[in-house]
Parts: sequence; structure tokens; C-alpha cells
Amino acid sequence: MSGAAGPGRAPLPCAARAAAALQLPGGAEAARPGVAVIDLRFPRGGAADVQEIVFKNFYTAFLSLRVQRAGPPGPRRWVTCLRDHRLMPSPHTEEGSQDYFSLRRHQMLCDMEQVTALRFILRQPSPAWLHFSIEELQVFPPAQKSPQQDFPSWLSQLTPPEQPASPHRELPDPEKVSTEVQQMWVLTEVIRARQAAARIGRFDVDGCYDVNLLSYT
Amino acid sequence: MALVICQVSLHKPEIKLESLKEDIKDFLKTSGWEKKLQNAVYSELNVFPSPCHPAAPPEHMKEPLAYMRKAQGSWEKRILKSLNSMCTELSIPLAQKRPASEQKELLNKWNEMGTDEPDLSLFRPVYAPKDFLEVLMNLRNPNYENGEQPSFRNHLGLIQVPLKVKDIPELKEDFSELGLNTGQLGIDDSAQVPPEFFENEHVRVGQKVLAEQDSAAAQQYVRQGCPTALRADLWALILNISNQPEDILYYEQLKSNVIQYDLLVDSLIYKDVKLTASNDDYYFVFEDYLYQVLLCFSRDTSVLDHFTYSSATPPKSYIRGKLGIEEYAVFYPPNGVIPFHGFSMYVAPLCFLYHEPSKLYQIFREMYVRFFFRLHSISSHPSGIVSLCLLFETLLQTHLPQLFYHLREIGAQPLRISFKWMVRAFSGYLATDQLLLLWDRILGYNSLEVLAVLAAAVFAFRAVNLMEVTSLAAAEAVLADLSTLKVMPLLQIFLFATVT
Repeated sequence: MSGAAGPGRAPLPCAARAAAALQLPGGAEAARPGVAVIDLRFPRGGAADVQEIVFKNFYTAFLSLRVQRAGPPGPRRWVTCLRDHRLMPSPHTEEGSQDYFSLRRHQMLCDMEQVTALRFILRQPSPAWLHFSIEELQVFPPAQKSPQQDFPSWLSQLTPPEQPASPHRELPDPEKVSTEVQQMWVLTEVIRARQAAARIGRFDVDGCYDVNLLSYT
Repeated sequence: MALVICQVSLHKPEIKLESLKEDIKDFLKTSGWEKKLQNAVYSELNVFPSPCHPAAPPEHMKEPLAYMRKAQGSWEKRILKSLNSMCTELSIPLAQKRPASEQKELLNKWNEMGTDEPDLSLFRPVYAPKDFLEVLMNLRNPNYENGEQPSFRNHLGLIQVPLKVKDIPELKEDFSELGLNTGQLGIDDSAQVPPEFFENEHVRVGQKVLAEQDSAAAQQYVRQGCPTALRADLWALILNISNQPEDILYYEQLKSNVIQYDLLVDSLIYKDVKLTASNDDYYFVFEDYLYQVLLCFSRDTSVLDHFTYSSATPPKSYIRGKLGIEEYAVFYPPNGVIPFHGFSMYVAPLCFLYHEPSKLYQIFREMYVRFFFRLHSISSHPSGIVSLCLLFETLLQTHLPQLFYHLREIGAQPLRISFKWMVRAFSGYLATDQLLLLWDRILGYNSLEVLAVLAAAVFAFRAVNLMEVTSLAAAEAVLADLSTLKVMPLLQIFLFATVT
């Protein structure tokens, strides 16, 4: 499973069945119904909290999502958590057809805790496309709180709460001044580090640019 | 640069320690640096596409559709093969260092390279727009129903990919400043209209925009056209070109690279200039400038940055004798752009506005990495040439169905005639003052769609004559001379005054 996960994020392992097209009972020839279903279950009947679902579209116009949740024993119900989410603004044209999408918890109509199965219902009403599906499906659990790696966290806690201007204004408040100067210093250091990557503009290698033929690879 | 100014300002007495942050902010505002930073940010927003999804690989930002990436790759491979075969036929290396005597000679002749008459008869352009059109005509989405039988899915024009293009109501909304009730340069500054109605006020507003040095305001302003006297500065403001000493130094470095190294593409550039701009009544005087700009452009590695958002990839090669060793891999030409027949026409109109070579160079480079690169690469971008072609054909088919059908029947598909206009952004086809009015709108709307609309408007204008022709050659003859056309009335009538 490829795709850039953020720090501390790994996709949940799951088994996705291939998209199955809707078929009418007793249909003689293979019609193209424009509706397909992908079922996803967690291994060994496990359940997990779902924070985000990431996938690559392939000519699906609308997506609905239903989940089955772990609950009291008995027949499990499918709950709709996303209804006709539009992936392609215009189903007959290419816009959005091969884009990457994220579905987040806050977009869902229901809770995404202890989910045992997910059902993606794909719809593509336009007859112009031969196949449609979604690819590179990844499901992410809620992220653990990870420490900031950009600059030391103690720096971000230095800003003191707003204090009213002191009536004795002989000397500036040393705490406030040192905080602000330190923040400025951190910013200049960050920018100085980035500036080192400025290009010099040389296109030759060690003063030599003898090139014979172009390479095809 | 702004950071250094800030650090220097810290020594000023009016900056107090306790209000450091606010004082720095105020200082930035009063010294004009806030405006410069705003302009720089605005410029970046205009050029770079909106950030992709984090899971998307880099090629997705270049071009989201896989089959278009593949088509662009095949097209590039063809170009590479063509260039390689030219090299082997003529036994000329792609690049080599110039001997010292030749370097000195070139330095002396730098301002009059047009007087050189090298033997270019064996060189041929790598490709011409009509070759590119053939490739676009054969572009197919493998997942699309491209049946042989005519159906609603087969487009009647030459482009067969189902990209989303705007229709006239959407274009009216996007180009609302071109409407009948808004003043335009190119219409409301003609001799019959007293200047008090529009022109004087418009010039006054333009001067104010320049005084404020605000890029965003300038971009909004030029939608109604630039006064000739202000155009050079307004375009420089929109493109965020200030010609600082370091920019001039950079240009001088490029010039020294031209002196030091001889590239095969130089000969292609020479040939192109001699074939196109030198033969043009308006542009032949600028021949020397064109060499000075284009030869430096080929050696400018900063142009490589635009390949992150272009569907194209720069050609690669290896230093002689080090084939396959990655440390000796280089891009060829250094800027990654192989010129084609007509490429110099992108620069020629700018010579009317800028006379200082380094500023002219920077303006052209910025125009290229913002707009012109889309006209010769295969992508699904709304301003890409594929979308422009489809927009042109759709507009013509929808609003002049009889004309479209007639031209199709006689074997004169309209795109065959208008393609060369759009690929060159109409440079060399329109009169220069009209062309500059058109390019005002390209800058103002940050989009090339106006080229497709103008192409359709030209066909609409000459519809009566076109209905009477019976062959492609005759249709070409009707549309051969566009030099008398007035661009803004055509656009306005087509968008806002045609009965739909």
C-alpha cells in the first residue's frame, strides 16, 4: 500500500473485495448498470475506529458509504454514513476522474467507532466510461498525539499571557522582550537554513558540458 | 532580502524593544516592503497550482490523468529521436565548449548577432504546430467509449477527449469585465469616442495603480486594457519583475554561459528567428534582441522549476563518455525546453515594450513559465492547448452549427486553421497593438481561454465568406490575413451580443 501517511499514521490492514457491479436477477446479458459495490472487512473480524479514508478515484461520479459497527449480538445493521458524495462535478467529463480524495470523520453522518465492515457504493450514471472504480483504498485510525518535530516545544510555550501595560514604564519587561526576541531568532534560523538551498545556476558538471546524444530513459 | 532589511531596521532608534513585533510590522508597511511581500505572495498564488492531496504522487500535480501523461511521454520521445537523428546526420554534438577565439568573437558581436549568416540549410525545426496537432487529434482516453459508429459521445471536431470546457454563459460570467456596459481600451478609446467618457479616467486609475505598486490591483485593472504608456510597467508589476541588481547580474551570467558553450539548440533558434520573426514586417527590427533573449533562455536552469506543475519533463543526457552514471547526468538544454518552429514569436511582441535586455528577458521568462508552456504540452489543464482546442470547437459548433457542419463537409475542419493561431497566442497574425490588447486580457484573467474565444469570434466574423468556400485551401485563404481585425469588438460581440 503506497501513499504518504503523516507522522504516526499507518493505514489499517484490511481486505478489500474487488468492485462488484450490481446485477438484476435473471438478467441474460451483462448490462452496465452504473452501480458497483466494494466491501471492506478488517482481518479476523476485528473492529477499529476510523478517522480518515483515502483513495484514488477512477471515473466514479458519486460515492455512498455504509458501515457495520460492532454492537449487541444479533443481526448487524448497515448504517449510511455518506450519501451520494460527489467526486466528479460533471460525470460526462474528465474533471475529478483520477483525483485523490479524503473522507474524514467529521463529514460522516454517523459515528465511526468500532467499525467492522465498510461498504462503498459507487455510482457512475454516464454511459461514456467503460469502467469505473476506486483504487488505492486506505483506512486510517485516529492519530496518536505525536510531539512536534519542527522546533522544540518549549519555545512554543514561551508566549506569556497578555498583561496590561505596566504603569511604571522605566524599563521594558525583560520576560516579554526575551520571549519575542527568541521567537524572532527561531524564525531567522529556520529561514537561514532554507536559504542555503538557493540555486547557483550551473548546468555543467565540473566545468564540462560535452553532451553527445539525448537519453530516452 | 526582506529579512536583511528587517535586521538592518533593528538598529534604528525608533524601533523599541518592548513593541518589537508591531514596530517591525509598521516599518515594513512604511518602507513599502509589505507591498512587495504581498505582491510576491500573490505572484506565487497565480503561478502554482493549489496544493495536491498529500497521498498524490508528484506526477499527479504535473498532470492528473494517466493517459495524458503517457501521451506527453510518447510525444517527448518522438522529439528526442528527431533531435538525436539530426545530431547524428550532421555529426554535430548537442553541446560543446567554444574555443577561446570564437568566444571573443561572439562577445564582440553580441549586440548584432543578426548580421551573422551561418549556414543553416541542413538544420530543420524539430517540429511544427501541425505535427503537434496530429498528436492531439489521436489523443484517446482508453476508458472512454470511442466507438466507430457516430454517437453522441464522438465529438464532431478533431479533439476526442471529454474535457470540461466552459460554455458562453460561464464565459460571460468569468469575463464580465469585457461586457457591453464596461469601458474597454480597444473599443472606447477609438477616435470617434471623446476621451472624457472613459479613456482619461482609465489612464488616471492606471497611474494610481502604478503608484501603489499593487500586483492584484494591476491584474484587475488590465482586464479593461492597458494604456500604451503604462503597459510596460503594469505588466512588470503583475509578473512581479523589478529588475534588481541581482537580476541583472543573473542575466550577465547567462550571457557568459552563451559565450562559453555552444549548443545545437542555438542553431535551431537562429533558424527559427530567420524563418519567422525576421520575415515579419513588424518584428524584423528586433532580430538582435530575440537572439539575446532566446540564447540566454536556453541556458537558464531556473526555468526547470516550472516542470513541477507542467505535464512535460526536461530531456536528459550524460556527459560524453559517462553514459548511465548519475553524477554526470545533465538536462539538455539546460532549461529543459526544446524550441519548435515559431517559438521566437513568443518573445517578439515583448520587444515593443521593453528595450533593456535583462528586463525583456525576465518578462519573457515569466510569461513562458506562467502561460506559454501550456501551449505546447499535452495536459488537461483548462488553459492547456487541448482544452483550448476543445473550447474553440465546442463554441463554434454550439453557436455556428451551420458553419461548422459546412466546413466539416468540405474537409476543412475549423481547428486545422485556428490551431496555429492559438499555439502562437496569435503572435504574428494580429496587428501588434491588437495583440498587446489581447495579451493584456491573458494577464488580467490569468488564463489562456480568451485565445479560444477569439478564434471562434474570428470565424463568426467571417462566417458569410466561409459559407461560400468549397475547399480547405479556400477556407485558409479567407482566414489568411487577420492583420486588419480589431480584437476587443470581436470578443465583445461574440460573448455578449450574439443571439443564442
